[in-house]
Amino acid sequence: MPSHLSQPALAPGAHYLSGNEAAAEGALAAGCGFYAGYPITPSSEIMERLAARLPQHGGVFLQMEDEIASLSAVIGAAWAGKKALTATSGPGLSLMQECLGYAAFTETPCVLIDVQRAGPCTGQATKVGAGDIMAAKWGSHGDYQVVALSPWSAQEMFDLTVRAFNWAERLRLPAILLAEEAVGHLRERVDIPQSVDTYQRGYTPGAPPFGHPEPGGVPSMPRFGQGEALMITGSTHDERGFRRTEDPAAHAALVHRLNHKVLARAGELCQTEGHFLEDASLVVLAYGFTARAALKAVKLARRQGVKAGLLRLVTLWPFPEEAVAQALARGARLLVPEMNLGQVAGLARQVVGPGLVRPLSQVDGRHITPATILGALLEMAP
Amino acid sequence: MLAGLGGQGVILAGALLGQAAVASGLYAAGASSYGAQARGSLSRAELIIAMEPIDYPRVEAPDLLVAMCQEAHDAHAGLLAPGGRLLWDDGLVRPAPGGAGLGLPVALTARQELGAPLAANVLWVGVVAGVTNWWQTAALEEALAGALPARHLEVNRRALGRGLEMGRQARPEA
Repeated sequence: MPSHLSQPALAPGAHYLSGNEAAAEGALAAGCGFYAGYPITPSSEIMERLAARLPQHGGVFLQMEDEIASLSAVIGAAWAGKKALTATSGPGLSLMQECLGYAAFTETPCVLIDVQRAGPCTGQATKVGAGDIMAAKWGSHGDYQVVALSPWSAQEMFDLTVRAFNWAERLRLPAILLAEEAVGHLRERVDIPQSVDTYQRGYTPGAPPFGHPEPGGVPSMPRFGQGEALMITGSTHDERGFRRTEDPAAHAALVHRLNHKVLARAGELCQTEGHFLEDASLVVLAYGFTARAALKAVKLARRQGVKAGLLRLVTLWPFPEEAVAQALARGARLLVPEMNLGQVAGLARQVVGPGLVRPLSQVDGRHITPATILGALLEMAP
Repeated sequence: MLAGLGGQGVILAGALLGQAAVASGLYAAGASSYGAQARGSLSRAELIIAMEPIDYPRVEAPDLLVAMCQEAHDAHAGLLAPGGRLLWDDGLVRPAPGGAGLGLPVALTARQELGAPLAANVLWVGVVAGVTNWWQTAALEEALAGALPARHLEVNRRALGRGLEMGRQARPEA
């Protein structure tokens, strides 16, 4: 795997950063050389910091006229050889959906950070929500895959931004950091490491840019200016990029490979974290900022004699089905607190069946507190 | 928890305390909330400092509350943890009759002694550090130098020093 160690732009050691600032530093550490975006609360600090920092590190920063243009520019920059990023919030994610599908279908590596706020629509611009889980995966039409990660701290805004870039480059797809306002604006200690593992895009001169002999293979990616004849289209194409819009086999093969290259690596992609699961009869399934409240609630419940545990999803897409199934293998029940009306609870139900999953939804623009989760755990306790 | 009105420098004060805590090797988590208007609406900085990583990073019941104005006092005094300490600006806040805590003339000191009413927030940073003894002075000075333009540094250094003095004197009472 063509990975190597890169030095972060920020001095190693402890820093006091907001999640959004940490994400910007993570992008720099991952080797991001291009940012295009349109400011939107609560993500704007990522853009603001990169406007200052990216040019200092030889990168290009562009403010675009809207979010459609932003992701378009990012896709162009990726084909010019850059690791490229945009950041937005829910309304921007909606506008980016066409380009998200285009990036998935043209196998364009790029990273999108969505700092979620309370939707739908313009909603509550400054308030927190986590309603974009499904939009991140299913928002564009057709069958495609993305990788989506859910940070729970400012530290992970750094770490998972690096990881998102690595997956984007390694699998040639859009990787999404599904952050939330409560993490983006949280200011915390962030330990910047001496070096981070980064992935350099694979390129074999002359190799087909859109085909691979393996069912889940990732093709070589040339860039413009290297002298290769390069055609990129959002229509069905063969391994050389020629349009094949009348060819059933070409279309099926392409759609299957694009999905398979992610799903075949689900074991490696799906990252979860277990807390107190060994003897847990009640498992809180949580992600993002809500998992911080859940961890405290689980500890408080244990003090009251309730055998609670926490399964935290770091990866949201592909959905970590295996870990969810395993957590319930011993007959436990699931509580799924989330700042939406049960988007992950629904996925959990598909895995373990409807009877074992209790959603705990809150969509009032405020984050879910430990007391709310504790209350639900005590109600569920035998 | 520090609370005041937009324009009083509440958020910066919280950021300075968090920055200094991290520079001293501690863990810190800070969050802030403020109204839609930049000035005049209620504004609050939360901060947790700890020797080890912080599970839940939001303040539910503060061990220490600084009320820089009456509205902030009234809105937040009820949140104080049992045994928590309440400090308020003597002159800007009239505490509840019989309420525990300590008033200090911070805004007045900033205006009259330092000739810099806007440095009251940094004076509060000093008071918090002086009362609790949780911060290293050098780390606070460094945080100040990192956050403020050079032309405002001198007066704010004096504000920090004066605040530390007031806080240390108040320690037995607060």
